Amino acid sequence: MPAKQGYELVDHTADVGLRVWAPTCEGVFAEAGKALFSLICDPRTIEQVETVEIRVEADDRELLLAAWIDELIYQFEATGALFTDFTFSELDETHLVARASGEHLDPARHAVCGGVKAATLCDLSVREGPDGWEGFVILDV
Amino acid sequence: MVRVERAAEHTYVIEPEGAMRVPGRIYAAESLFKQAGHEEALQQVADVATLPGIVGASLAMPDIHWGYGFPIGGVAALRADDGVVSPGGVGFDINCGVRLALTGLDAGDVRPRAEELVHELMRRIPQGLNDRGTLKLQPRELTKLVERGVPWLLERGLATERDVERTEQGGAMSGASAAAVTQKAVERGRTQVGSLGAGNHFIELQVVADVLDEAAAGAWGVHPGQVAVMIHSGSRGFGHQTCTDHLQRMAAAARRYGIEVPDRQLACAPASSPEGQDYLAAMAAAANFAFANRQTMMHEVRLAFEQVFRRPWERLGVELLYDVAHNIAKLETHEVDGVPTRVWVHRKGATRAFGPGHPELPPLFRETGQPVIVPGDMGSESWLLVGTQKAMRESFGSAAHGAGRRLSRGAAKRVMSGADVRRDLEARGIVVGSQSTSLLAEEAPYAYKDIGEIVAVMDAIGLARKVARLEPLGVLKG
Repeated sequence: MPAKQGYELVDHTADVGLRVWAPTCEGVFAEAGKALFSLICDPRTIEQVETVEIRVEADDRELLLAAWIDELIYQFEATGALFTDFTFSELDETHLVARASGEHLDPARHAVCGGVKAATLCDLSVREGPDGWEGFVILDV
Repeated sequence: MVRVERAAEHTYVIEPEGAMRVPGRIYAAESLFKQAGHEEALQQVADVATLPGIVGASLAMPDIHWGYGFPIGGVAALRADDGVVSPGGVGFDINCGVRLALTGLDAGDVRPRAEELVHELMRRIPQGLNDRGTLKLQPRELTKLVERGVPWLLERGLATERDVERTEQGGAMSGASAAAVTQKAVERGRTQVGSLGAGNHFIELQVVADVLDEAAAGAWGVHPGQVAVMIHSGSRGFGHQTCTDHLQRMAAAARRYGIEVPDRQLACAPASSPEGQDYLAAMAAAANFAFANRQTMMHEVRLAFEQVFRRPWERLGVELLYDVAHNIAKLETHEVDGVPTRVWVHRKGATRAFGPGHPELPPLFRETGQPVIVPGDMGSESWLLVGTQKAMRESFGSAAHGAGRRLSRGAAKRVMSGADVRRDLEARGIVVGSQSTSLLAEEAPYAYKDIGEIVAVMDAIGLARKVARLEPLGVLKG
């Protein structure tokens, strides 16, 4: 892998696959958030002017990754929030508390380049390997 | 890798292996086996065959391609008494579907005004991402809209009685309950009624190019040279959030019900369980949202025609032919081993295609069979077909819903730029209205399978018969 922490988009006929990796589980969740917003808007145009606390619960760690992405999609659609930075004060198998930083959509400065409907549960994975943590999720775009 | 055998012309079978409860049956042209991702799609047909309560076979329509959980083009009937329902078998865009409105105008009337008309449609109908719909609703109004569907719009003067009759299930799925829908879905959907959305959604001005079944076309008021309007859209953020919420809940509940699925996107619960009942009530609400969304946009289409042609829409004859769902689970009765059985027919990227005589159809279509509307990809031909008795026997009254993707969005963008795709379409005399050029590249015609081949396979097998071919005059993209 090219760097210790990052993401790549993987082609899928109808959708987009998202592979993320990081030294920690928190890093995987943070990269997933960054990758998601990179599909919605050019991250270089998003300034960090506000921070929102986000809480998510799910039944296991994999479902938590999907629920986390779904929560960010909801935040964007309901409030126009665009985030580029994420820190986690709590993250275990079934819940997380995150602080997401970014700003609200301003059509004068932000070009929305893509929409994401949801995270699917198809081939969903989060696991710790010898070189750190890895996650995979297919997004319905 | 699953083993697929040719059973007949255009018909392939996967015999049950492992946890499969029924065979898989795929209706397709041989070219399927050259298509990228076809092995994954066929594996998905086999995976669906493991769902508790599935009857007959796990089916795939001729536009089958690799999805998640179910293949796109997948159809499965699950016993209502003791089978499951699966939100993934309906998809995130609940009741993504299509409607075709006919007009009393001919291509000669419309072609000189097509650019003006497309611009008027663009001005009236929000399209693209994060855009607000034409209908501003308070939360309690949204509750009425999702519980009552198109008949509620009739009371508001946004629909006619004929529109209600000409929408699948009268534009109101029974059992819809706003109480089964989360606040998040309401927040996402409240401002989106009457908006097109992005992705493969479109509004297209079309002209009837050929009529192949004069009896059906005549009965429906379809003739060569006639202008029609096709609207392809769904339940927007309301439906996406509804699927998301219930999918999470069912994935968590699966263990409790002792259900094992090969792919978590197939998460399901017994139809009779609290999780199953809640999902079905929420799905019906999202389906009604989508019917109402397409109706609201058709109302704006009518006003755009009035604006451009300076006559009331009634005199321009802008009337709905039919509106059908492409992503839905429907409670229907089908013969299984000779016994009429109540089943939840999951159609994931497939259309209902009921034949003549079905009691659920309005009187005109009870005579002819129902219109089967098969949109092509952006800028290529679309088709109007009619449902058959054979579809009732073979495919739980289902047929293919469109062209089906051939290339991923990323791969499509590498072939040609959006600006080139626009020039290409315009060179063919098609007016293009789109805010996003990258979307044009993702949705370019070469990203999709050949619609003509898919329609030919359906006609040859007899799942639906060709009635008319439509060509685009102008397209409005998300």
